[in-house]
Amino acid sequence: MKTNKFIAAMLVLVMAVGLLIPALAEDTIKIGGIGCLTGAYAMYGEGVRNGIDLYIQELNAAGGIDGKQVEVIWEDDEGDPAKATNAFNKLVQNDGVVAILGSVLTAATDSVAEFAAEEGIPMITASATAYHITTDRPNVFRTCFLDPFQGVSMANFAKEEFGATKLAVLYENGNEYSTGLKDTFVAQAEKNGQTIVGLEATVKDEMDFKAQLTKIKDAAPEVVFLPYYGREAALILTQAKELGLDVKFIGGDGISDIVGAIGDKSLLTNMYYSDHFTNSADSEMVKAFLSGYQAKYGEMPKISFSATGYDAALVLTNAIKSAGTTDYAAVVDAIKSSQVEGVSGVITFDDHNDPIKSAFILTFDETGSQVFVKQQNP
Amino acid sequence: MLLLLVNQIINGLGTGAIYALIALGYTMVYGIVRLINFAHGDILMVGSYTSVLLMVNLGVPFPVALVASMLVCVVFGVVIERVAYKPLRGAPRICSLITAIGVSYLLQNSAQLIYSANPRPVPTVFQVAPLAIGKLNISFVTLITVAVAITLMILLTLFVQKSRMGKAMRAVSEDQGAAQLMGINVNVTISVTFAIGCALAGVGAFLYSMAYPLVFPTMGSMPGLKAFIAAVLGGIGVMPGAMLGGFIMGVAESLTKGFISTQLSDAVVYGILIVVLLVKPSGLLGSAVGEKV
Amino acid sequence: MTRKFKSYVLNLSAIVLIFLILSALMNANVINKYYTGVLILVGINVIMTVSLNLTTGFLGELALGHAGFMSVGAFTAGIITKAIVANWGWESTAALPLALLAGGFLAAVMGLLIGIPALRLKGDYLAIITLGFGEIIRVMIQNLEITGGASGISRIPRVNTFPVTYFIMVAIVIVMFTLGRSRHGRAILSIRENAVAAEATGISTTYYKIFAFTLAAFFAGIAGGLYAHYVSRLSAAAFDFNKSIEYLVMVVLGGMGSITGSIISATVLTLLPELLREFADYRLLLYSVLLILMMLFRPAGLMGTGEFSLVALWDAIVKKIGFKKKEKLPLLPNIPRYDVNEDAPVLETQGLGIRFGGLTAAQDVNITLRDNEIVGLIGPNGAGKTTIFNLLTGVYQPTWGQIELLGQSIGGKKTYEIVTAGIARTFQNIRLFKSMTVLENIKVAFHSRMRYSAASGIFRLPGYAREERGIEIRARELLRVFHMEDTADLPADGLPYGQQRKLEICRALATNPKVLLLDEPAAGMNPIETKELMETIRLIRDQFSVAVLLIEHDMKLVMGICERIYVLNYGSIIAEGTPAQIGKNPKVIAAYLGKSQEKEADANA
Repeated sequence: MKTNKFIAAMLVLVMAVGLLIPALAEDTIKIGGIGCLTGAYAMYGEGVRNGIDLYIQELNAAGGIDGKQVEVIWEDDEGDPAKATNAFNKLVQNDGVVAILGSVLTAATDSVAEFAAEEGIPMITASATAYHITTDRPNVFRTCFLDPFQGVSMANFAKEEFGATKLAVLYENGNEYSTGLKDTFVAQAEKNGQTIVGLEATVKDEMDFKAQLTKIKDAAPEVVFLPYYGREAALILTQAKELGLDVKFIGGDGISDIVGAIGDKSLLTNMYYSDHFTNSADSEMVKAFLSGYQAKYGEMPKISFSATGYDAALVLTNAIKSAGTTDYAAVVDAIKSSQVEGVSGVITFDDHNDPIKSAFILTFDETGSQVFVKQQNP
Repeated sequence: MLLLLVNQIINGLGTGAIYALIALGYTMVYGIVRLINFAHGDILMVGSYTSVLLMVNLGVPFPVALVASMLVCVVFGVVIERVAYKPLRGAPRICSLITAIGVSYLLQNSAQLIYSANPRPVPTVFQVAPLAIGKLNISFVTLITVAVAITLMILLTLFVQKSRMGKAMRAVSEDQGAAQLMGINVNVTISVTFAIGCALAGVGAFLYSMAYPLVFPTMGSMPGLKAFIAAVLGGIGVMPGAMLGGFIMGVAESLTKGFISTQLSDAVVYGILIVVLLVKPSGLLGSAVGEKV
Repeated sequence: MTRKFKSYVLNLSAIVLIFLILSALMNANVINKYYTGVLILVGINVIMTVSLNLTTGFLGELALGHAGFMSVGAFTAGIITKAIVANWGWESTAALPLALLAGGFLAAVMGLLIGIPALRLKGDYLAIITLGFGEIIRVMIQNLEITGGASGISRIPRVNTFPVTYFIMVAIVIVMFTLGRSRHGRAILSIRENAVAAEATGISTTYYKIFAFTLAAFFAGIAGGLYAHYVSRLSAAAFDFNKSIEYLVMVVLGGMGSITGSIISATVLTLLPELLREFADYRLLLYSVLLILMMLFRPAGLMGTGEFSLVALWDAIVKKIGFKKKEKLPLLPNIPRYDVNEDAPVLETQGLGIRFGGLTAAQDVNITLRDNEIVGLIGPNGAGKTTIFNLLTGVYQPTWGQIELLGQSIGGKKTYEIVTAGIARTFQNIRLFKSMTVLENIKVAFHSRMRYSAASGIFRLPGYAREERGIEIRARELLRVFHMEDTADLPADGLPYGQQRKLEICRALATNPKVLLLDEPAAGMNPIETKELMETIRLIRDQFSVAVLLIEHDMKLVMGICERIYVLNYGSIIAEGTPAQIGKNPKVIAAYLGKSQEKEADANA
């Protein structure tokens, strides 16, 4: 009886290995896409994927790269570092992809980058904003700006735009993105001579921010910095109103999906944030991107990572084209020296493989439509 | 300082009331079938989605939406009990625990496939200004939540103490076999218990999404876990215990954040829990059941 | 070829063969880096599952914070490797063993800490403590500077290769197997089966609970270290409650208490998501449905508590006749000769009493037992008879009075210590280690007289083998005395009622008592069985040289075999004497027939 069970289990294993045997190569250029496509942060993965798929679709329609079609094979990492390494290995070993676009969340991207650095395969992330992701990894690039830049920009913005001297920060403890922004913001504020009157933390999946907001209200700041994603920021604005905390709120690029998550859109007029991309830009390219996106997905991009994703695909395929080969080193060199105009601005890379580009500071009107405030240059 | 203290206590009572409502459902189910129903928080999610979709997409007025979401929760709860838990009544308890986890994942992932992971805002129902007492602001939602939670707890305790069904529930919770011999229909009694627990989750869902106006597929896990802890803290299986545990959790969280550390608030709350259980191993109001030798 | 030898040969060759095949396939790149990576994660998950099985399956305590130990091990190992490489310039491969051990060690310290509440709490309350503890660990890691705060640790040298994981996994699995078959493993299992009976057969439940928690945490810490050196990137958020649940699911699906079950389920559940990559969106949905269906249709898990055995497989394939081989003499368990003074009593209580709150359940009880005597303790329901037993065995601590065994005071001692000192008992409601076999039930009772260490059990040193063979012989001898030798390999709860009673007595005798306390041994027996029992009790006294104190309502039995009788009423001794004297005592008649016919609640129920 037990023997039968064991044999059955072995059969399952054998079938498993059979299924895993790689498909034969075809005459397309394969690119691997990694992101959190399921789980609590799936919307970020989806946003990036939508942007990348849109560009690749346009590229293929225009003849691909030297007549070869480009295919993006997507793998889900659920935002988990270990699962991300499996996704990476599968794409490189079994699918034979020539480059990686992704991953999306910082921790997963970091482990993918470590593996990618060992292989030397070109990799571009559209969304991992932590500084150290590209450090000492010559083949790893990104098309988004960095946490330090955002933190500094927003501290300066609070000073220049609102003349604020008393600042408070609410951040998510244990979240790398949030604590990273908090650190650079606080450092820059102190450099600017601004005082941090309140520094409060929240935990993952927290829904109730009233205790922290009550303390912040008690400290009477002029501006509150919220390095959060839209979901939390929406709750914070709502609860701040309940508590009668009427100040300006500023945040980073994570805020960009707040509109869909907040019921009372009028609260958004107090919210300012830095983003990689603005819908209101004049360029033909942005307009084409927006209408293309609308046509393909039936809605406007929910987060700006769709734009940086689009740009990541653009930079990568351009580099493959100009290298004339999919050889890792040649493509990496081509990316390094690329200078292309994307929807989120002109992209060139510095010594640290980070794009040299501006941040857009945005806010909203009462209906939740984006309003451009100013451009913050590096 | 005093104002801050009072404010934080009020904040804590608001969250605590919601924990308490969910914990009541946990504790009732636990009391009768000794099952940690990990899917209870996800029933809350189902309820929230129901009321939001009804109000936003169909423009249903909120009392109707509330009743509808309670009904949907009850249906879900009873069906889940019949399909997934009932066959396992004789099995080791860990099996039903794992099944409950399975059900929880199932509800979350189905919701994600149907509604995507994007959070949806909840429309504001009570356009009432906060109650201002001097410099103190108490939001209307907080007041309603606390009032509803306490009322329901009293009604429920009365129900369990006085009504026929309540007596049946207590009997089943003491000894299923003996209850059956006394002519009590155990299956019906357990279904009713799940139904009441889930109806409470439905009310909880409505109040929860008023207080935190966002719905998303995984929204149930955090309050579910907190409510479970609250139920254990108060003495699982004991109704006033769930209430007390919920309020203590809420206030402890709020005071920890307010006066000790917002960074370590979770650790402090779990620390309190561990200390309480070490001093009183069956929770605050739970009666110590030593093993007979 | 003995069965044991065959099992060593078969299992070792299987281990080596699997490794060689996998390595060859890796060299040929049939198993590429992707599959290798997945296999490494399989190995890590096997260690996690097997170690969680120690607490949840073997010890029977639900633990919801196992990922916490893993994270402690992972962070410790990662930090140490990075520090060693940076400061001393070692090769990172050289630092790995040190880092893994350190990670395991620190995790074990955490396991020790969590084992302490486990002494006071059990079931769901303990489960929630483990949950809370796991979360506290996570919050701490996220807030400590040395662990990198929220960003965690990055760029840990990736020196964990497949052979490293494979052999560590094999080693841990072997340890779990050998431990499980040693006296220490039996002790842990007996706690799961019935903690009260375990203590009453001489097992220090305190020690073994902490032992199990600590060892499980140690292994989880090692697994964490392996994880750190493979993924290279750690963030505490990845080791949350959900991760602990993931491992719990693996344990339950494999079968609680089955190591091979854990191995299979950890393997399948790690491979499954990779196989289902095509259906990424529905993967988790399928997983949850699978979970529910599995529990509904196979609640005991894949393997139940059984194990897959290569030897059984071998025997099934090749029908073969075994040889006989000469063995070293087994070491029979050391049976202490009690130092009995013919004149002095074996057991004596003076002014013994206990109060529960306002209720005095026993007072001024003076009982004397002489060597080889059979004494009855009778009295109406609620008189406090079982309370006296509980006082004598240390389940309750007396409020007043003295208990002396062979002239030594045993007041204040724990139950298992009293058992070792020479008092064994049975229970009114039978408490057997139900899912263990009859033979194993008895072997557990030999625990306190065995000497080999946990290490000796794990590594199967000569001491282990000789002692185990010794108690095997003794246990079977004991069963023969009770005419139960045929039942040795049956599960205890499959025995008919009368034999379960006998097994309990048998188990008590295996602890080599000087005093045997029997709590209503004839309850539920028919007249023929009762008669047989009387013979058995006399036989025990004659063969094992014990004094017997028995509680019984069956007057035929009491009057038939007891040499003296104590009568208890309302917690006090109201009469003492020979059966003939007691039968005529007016006080006793009054107590039994009742002047006022009143009945009171059983004080010690």
